[in-house]
Amino acid sequence: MAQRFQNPTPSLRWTIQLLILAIFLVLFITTTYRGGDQINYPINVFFSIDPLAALSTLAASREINAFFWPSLLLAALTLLIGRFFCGWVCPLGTILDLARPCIPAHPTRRVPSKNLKYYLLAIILTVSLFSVNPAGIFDPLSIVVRSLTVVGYPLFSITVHGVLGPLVRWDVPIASGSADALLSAMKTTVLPFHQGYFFLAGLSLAIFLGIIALEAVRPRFWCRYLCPLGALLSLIAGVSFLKRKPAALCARCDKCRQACDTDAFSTDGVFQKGECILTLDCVRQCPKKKVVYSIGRKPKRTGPVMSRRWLVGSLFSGLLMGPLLSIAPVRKLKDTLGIDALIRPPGARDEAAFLSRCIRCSECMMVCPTGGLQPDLTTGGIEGIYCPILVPRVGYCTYRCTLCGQVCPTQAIKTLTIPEKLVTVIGKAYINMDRCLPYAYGVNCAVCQEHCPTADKAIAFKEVPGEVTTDGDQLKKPVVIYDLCIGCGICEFKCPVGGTSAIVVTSMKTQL
Amino acid sequence: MRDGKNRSGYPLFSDLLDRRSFLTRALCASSLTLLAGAVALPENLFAAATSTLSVGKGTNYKNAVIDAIGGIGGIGKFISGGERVVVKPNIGWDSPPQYGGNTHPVVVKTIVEMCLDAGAGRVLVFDNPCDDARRTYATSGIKAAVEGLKNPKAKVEYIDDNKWLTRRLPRAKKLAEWTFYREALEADKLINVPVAKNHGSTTLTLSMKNLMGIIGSNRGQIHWGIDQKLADISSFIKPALIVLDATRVMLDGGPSGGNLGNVRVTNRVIAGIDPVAVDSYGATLFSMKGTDIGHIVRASEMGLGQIDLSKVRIIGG
Repeated sequence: MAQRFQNPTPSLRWTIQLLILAIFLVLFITTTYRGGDQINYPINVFFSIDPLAALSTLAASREINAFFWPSLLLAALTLLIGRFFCGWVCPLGTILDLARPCIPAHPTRRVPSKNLKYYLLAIILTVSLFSVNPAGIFDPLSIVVRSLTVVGYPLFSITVHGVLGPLVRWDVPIASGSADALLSAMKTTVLPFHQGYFFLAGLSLAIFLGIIALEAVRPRFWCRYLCPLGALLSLIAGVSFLKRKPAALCARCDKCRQACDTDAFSTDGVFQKGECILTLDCVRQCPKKKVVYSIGRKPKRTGPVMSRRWLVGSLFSGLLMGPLLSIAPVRKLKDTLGIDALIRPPGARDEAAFLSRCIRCSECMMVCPTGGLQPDLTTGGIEGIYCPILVPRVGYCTYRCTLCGQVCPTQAIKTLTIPEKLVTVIGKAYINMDRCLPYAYGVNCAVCQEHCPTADKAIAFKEVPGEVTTDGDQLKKPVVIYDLCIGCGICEFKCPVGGTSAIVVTSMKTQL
Repeated sequence: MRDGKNRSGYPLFSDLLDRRSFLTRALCASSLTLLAGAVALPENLFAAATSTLSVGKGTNYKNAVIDAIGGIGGIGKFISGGERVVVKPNIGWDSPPQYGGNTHPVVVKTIVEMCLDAGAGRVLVFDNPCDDARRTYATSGIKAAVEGLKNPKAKVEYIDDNKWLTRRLPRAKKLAEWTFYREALEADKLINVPVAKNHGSTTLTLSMKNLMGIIGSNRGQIHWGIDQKLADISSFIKPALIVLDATRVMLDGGPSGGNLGNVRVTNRVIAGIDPVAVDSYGATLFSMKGTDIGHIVRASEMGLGQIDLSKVRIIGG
């Protein structure tokens, strides 16, 4: 006896979707330093159920990562009842459902084939197998966390500060006090203590708005045609136990297709399990109440029918991607002399191993207390887009902080203990004597030395008798003690020289 | 002077005050200012001549603080009922108490307690730290210590960037104006609670250097000609009380520290109101004199206090 699905009201799906989105947002906000050395509830639990990230990371790193075991659970559930994740769980799906009523529909006559997402998936997995791990660029969870980190949260925070800040500053009776209290309360809850601002904010906003704007063309455009996670779940769902009666559109009735967000029917009207995201709208819309979803006794395959030519083409382009990325001089430089600004977070694996794991979710950037971890555009080559690099002029690496490794879902950044962190070298500082005040202008400064956090300071002073400042005091010229420097970049961050810092950290870290 | 030419509907300045009375009033006002200055000047000299310090000693830091403040008249001499007090320790570094990078939490806690006992309406503790404030407040033990008092009148707050005010420093020689933290400016009493330690650019950081924690903007620029600028800040900000934490002193690797080998336990707390005298005494803990430290010399030159310890009354020293 097959178990029947209930006929749920739309509000049940809405409730679950919004609840999960709320949990997602709460976890996102808690992915920040709030006074302890440990992060207890990072958002990375969402990635642990992500089979796409699991599979691509497995393919690229050739290592089984226990973190991802819950993704097997999602895969198993999908094998049982189909692509419920997309319709009920995925935060991007929920955001699209929320946004759709606000977007005027402009359906085009021609749309891509729904198979496009499978080809994209094929390319991603082939690339993962042979070079870097690009899944994170297209993974919907990565996209949401990244858009929130890089654009959404900074915008929210800047807006709140923009409204309440002036009220506090103007010192208006009552209003200022309440604004101050409200702002303080928000700072300990929904607002970040220290808001990071990120490069690629414009690009990230464009991608996010683009995905939303596509709702005008077709509902769930992203999920239907593009999403590689959806594609993977769809392939599993295609052979699932899910059973729908009737298995095709009825003669002279198109209501199911019209009600369906993902157009889960072939051109000749046959139900496609893989495309169905279980909104169950068709159950409700059927005038004769004929539609019934159930779990069948044995799995039965329906679709997708892929073009062999396209599939082979995708595999080949995936294969070609490796050599294509390698023709850039960046690859050569990374392997040989290094690239100055390519400073990876503390605990990051060697570049190749790092790129095989990083799913560009930007959690490390979200959690970085100084906002120094930034999404890369091309510093590490185009293959490193959205991977984290430390930009010390924007924010330094906090000496006793190990948060980025703690939140990294794939351990592309390894979790360090604090004693390990204190001796982890991510680069080395050097002094630009043409800008450094004591060298260039005979003025004592010493800010870099003051902030240097290592137990024995990695910046000392060279005092030459007779060399005096413009004020007549002994001149103190800072020098970097190479062996002690860990490249945290606080010197570069705090250097009071305007514009380019007079002390700069580069990725060079070989022992002399 | 009303000539009917002003048709704006608003009174002109000249309508309100004719030239003669303006000049008379201006003259009176400026003479009064000058007179006030003349009165203030001997007061400075007087303060310098009779500077008093009090030193509390012992491994019980709470008692050392109480002894030190008791030696110069007790907390009741400085704090009155209902006053809004700011206690400004050094919470600059992500460094545990034994390293001497920050003021000892027991010292801070004791002072806050004493202020509350003296009837303070509110005691606010903050610093504008060098490392991440969330870390320094936690690692220093100061946040936990003060909040452990469980008194709603005692608060540890993070710096709020909406609360910076730009002020002119009338007596300054180098630092014409700078931004200061509103809570520090508007408090009825400011208690400066520095820790004595080594410093890369100023050799030592004592009470005057600790006032950098109530200023904002690009503080790195203060370091260019820092000695005079520190003296300038001290000419503008006058704490009601200074309690120098020398329970342990960081002899090298300052101001951040991190090497216990550089820390010497000295078990002393020094209280006073003369920043130059307090800092000169602090220098002796490092086998130096006030005259060896640039910013103490500059502050002394500006008449901010007594640098010559032979002219300072030291109680319990």
